[in-house]
Amino acid sequence: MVLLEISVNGKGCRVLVDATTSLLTVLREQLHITGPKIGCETGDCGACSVLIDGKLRRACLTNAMSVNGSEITTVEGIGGSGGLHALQKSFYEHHASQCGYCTPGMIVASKALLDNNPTPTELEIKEALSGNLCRCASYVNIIKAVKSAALKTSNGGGEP
Amino acid sequence: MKKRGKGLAVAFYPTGMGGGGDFTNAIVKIKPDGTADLIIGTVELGQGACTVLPQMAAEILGIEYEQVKFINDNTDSCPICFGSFASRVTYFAGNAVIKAATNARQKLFEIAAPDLGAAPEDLEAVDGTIRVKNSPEKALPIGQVATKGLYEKHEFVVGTGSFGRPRSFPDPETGACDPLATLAWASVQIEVEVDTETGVVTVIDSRSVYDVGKAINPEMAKLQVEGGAIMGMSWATLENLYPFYPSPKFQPRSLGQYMIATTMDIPHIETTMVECPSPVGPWGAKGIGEMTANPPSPAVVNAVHDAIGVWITDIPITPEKVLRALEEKEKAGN
Amino acid sequence: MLNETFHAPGDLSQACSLISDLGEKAIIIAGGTDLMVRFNRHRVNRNVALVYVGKLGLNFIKEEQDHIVIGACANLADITASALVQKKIPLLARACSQMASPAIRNAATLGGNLGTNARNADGVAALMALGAVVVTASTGGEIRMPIEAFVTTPKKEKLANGGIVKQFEVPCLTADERWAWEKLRQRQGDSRSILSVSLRTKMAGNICKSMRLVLGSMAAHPFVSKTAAELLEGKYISSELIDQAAKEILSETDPGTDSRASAWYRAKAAQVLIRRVLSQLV
Repeated sequence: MVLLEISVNGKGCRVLVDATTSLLTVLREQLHITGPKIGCETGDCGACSVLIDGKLRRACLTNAMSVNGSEITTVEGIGGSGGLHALQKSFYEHHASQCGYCTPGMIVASKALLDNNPTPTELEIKEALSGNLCRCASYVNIIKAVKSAALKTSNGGGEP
Repeated sequence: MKKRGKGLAVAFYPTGMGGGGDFTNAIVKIKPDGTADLIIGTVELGQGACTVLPQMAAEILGIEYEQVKFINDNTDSCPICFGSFASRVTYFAGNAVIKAATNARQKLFEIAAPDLGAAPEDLEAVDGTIRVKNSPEKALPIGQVATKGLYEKHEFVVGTGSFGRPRSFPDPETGACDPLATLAWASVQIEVEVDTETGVVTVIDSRSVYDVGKAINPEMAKLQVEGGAIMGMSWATLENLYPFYPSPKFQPRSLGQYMIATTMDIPHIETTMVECPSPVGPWGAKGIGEMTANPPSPAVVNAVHDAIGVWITDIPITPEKVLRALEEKEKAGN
Repeated sequence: MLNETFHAPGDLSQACSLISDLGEKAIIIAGGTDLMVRFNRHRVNRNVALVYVGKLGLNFIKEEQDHIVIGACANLADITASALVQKKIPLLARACSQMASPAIRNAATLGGNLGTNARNADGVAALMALGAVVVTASTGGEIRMPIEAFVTTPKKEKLANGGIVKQFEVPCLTADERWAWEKLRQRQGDSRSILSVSLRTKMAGNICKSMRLVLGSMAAHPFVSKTAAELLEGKYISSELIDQAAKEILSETDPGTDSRASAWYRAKAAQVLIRRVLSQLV
């Protein structure tokens, strides 16, 4: 076991982990942060998407110790005490989920996009979300939701 | 060379078990604060049961959707539902919920009748109140009525409902039977672009028209149709459980090998809803869950034929199947 | 019983001696996008020592004389976004931009793409077309080797004393050079190559002065086509010659069958892609 020190959604965490453990296992099973979902554990579905030092990553393919000292943001850290984030409101308003399993990953991937590109085109939204599978195939509304959130936040709509 | 083609497919789809025999039970319980519990064994697997069933109970009880709590967390203690399959929930569970809610409402009418000075059959449930038809000023909040029933009259304000279809066995002489409950209808048009050199088929346009009887929740019904349109085209062009059928070789073992459509693979999508009510569905509703994945693939097959003049009738239409079919066509000299 | 250790050396020489000391137990991890799949599935002997190479400062992308030098730990997203790569060796930016999905590209490294030693490694194919040199480092010093030699050399020889890949040196495109990249994949978002064809060439009008044409997924490794160079260099590129090249280059290939496509399909499609990349030159 090795000592891992990370900050998750602004809170410092110290845990003992196995050297080959994934960040996803640490988040869910040791820190009980269950927003990132276990989908495939092969990096193909995107349900475990998180931000590591602001960059979109797969928690399942991230060796936990390799991000020692990093800042992790999960869907729980988006919005949070300030209420729903503009993206979350927009997903809600646009019916952008059916079963909801992909939604945490979709929100995180969309956040990563808008942080770098506040006014994406439809193609840029599609590219940014191309690694996040939705088996209910709610893609049409998901894309609409991201577009609408982008319009609101880029017009100074008050991002929490 | 890139060639385009259009294809059409139509579909109809029944609801529930073919031949009948399935049912759903529901309990609606009114609480002293005027809200309701809907207790039902129906499983929510993302299709929207926990949205549309409370919506239906709220409609009957004259309260808001948010005031109905959907309780399905223990399928042992909840009333039996045959299951979330065969697009049956809105129709079977919906009818059961309507019956249970109507039943509970009748109890509210009976409790409120003496205080309102009217017969139970002259009352209605509107805007969170029980009131006299045509005399809206004579009204009592539902919470007050329920409280009176529970605390003074010791009347448990609860309604139960069951909805099912009897088994229909075929007549041994003629085969005649009544196997189907409600039929939803659909027509889907797909446009594809086929690269005749690489064999790649790209779905570029998808237009769906669905007769849903009555869309209980129009946004969710539309989303389900759009999801089905994408699943169907994904099935028709990408999803391959046996890449070398009948050989089991190279069967996909992960989501990295089993291809489903991503955001980058979806065509332009248009959806139109038609509401031609079912005489037996809740407010005319039919079931459209499963059928939405069905017509896109035959429409893709037809569109590919329109584009390159060959029939590829086993899906998915992989680039290899397209190239082999085109070679056959060339050999045959047409 | 797990007997795992984790090491995160802070510089290259420290990493090299650590790997040398750990011997067979050492497993080098960078982005983790391939290795973690194996760990997640519990397929790996857990008596391992992970050596994380992400803190060695090997994520640079810089210009040195007429070369772009890319650290082995530069990730695919950074390479795609690099103005230097886009300007001087755009073929690599294009290839990296179409690999996997955005989240994977933020983690997966160019060194890892070489390390997985896959038939369909797009990054390796692009580096090969560009004529890149691989630099490895170990306790015994540095070794430089053209990437096409690297992929076919046994591990014991190219990474003696348990060395690691340090960097890639890629000659910048000159004003009279051109490039092309074509790749077939099963779907448009997040999918691995069925095959790729890329090239770097020098043209004088329609006359081909030099030709490095690389096929990916058409043999055990991406490879530089000898036939393409022999057939096309010094010639006027006509559509007849392109057709001839597409057919003859096939004799060098040994396409395999997998879940993405059959060998039959790869052979057919390779000819199409070869024609497409060559047609861009005339």
